[in-house]
Amino acid sequence: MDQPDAIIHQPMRLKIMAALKVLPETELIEFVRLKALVGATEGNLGAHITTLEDSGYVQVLKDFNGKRPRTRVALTKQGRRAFEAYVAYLRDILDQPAA
Amino acid sequence: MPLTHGEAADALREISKTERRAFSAYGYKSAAPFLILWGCLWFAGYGATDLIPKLANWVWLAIVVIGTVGSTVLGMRTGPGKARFSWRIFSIWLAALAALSSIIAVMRPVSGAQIGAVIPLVVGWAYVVLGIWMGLRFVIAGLAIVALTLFGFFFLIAHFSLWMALVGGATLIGTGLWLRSA
Repeated sequence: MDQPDAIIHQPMRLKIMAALKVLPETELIEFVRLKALVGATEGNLGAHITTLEDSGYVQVLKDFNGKRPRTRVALTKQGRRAFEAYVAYLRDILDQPAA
Repeated sequence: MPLTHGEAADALREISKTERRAFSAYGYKSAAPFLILWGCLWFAGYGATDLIPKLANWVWLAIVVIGTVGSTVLGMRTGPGKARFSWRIFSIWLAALAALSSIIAVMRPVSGAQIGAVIPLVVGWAYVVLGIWMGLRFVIAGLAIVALTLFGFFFLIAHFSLWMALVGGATLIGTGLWLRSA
């Protein structure tokens, strides 16, 4: 990889991906909990989640918990692979001698 | 444009910081229902021990069985993916029971209060160790359990079971609610 993945490289999306990567593969996190974890506003997080979803990196599940609507997010396999490749790319840069 | 060394290092630092925060939050959320369950069981177990000390052994046997079944069911309901039996959680539980049983077998406590204090002390310190790895709230919860147990043992020995039922049970339940809100 010569260039960083532009989707993941954006600072807020990087935080979102890092937070989701920690969860077990099939685990979903509630939107409100993710918002607190990455320190985003609701609108900002929603926009970035949409970008990540359009790229196939996250999946969004909307359902009801009792009568309360909830939105949950999880990393897809494709997203997990892309994030791992991005981290490997960063480590490669650090392994190279500084210019 | 390729990233510089500094930019790559900054990005990796940010990833590490976020992963650490998410790891703690996930641990808190996973542990919360178990703490609430065991808070209720402590309340029932120590409360019954205070009321009918002669039946304490039977009461605690029942508590261990209920706790084992309850923790297993909770692990199945709150674990990732579809509900299924978690050998990992069950094995951790068996290891904890074996550890406590072997400590009691070797130390041979001479009073019920000693047994009633040793178990929460081991549990409390286990939370402190877990917290060093997983997050500050576990450390605080562990230290609270240890401090309250020691206070009850040394200053309220005549009412130790009642103290542990009310204060110990409430601490576990409160900690569970606190972790759930994290």
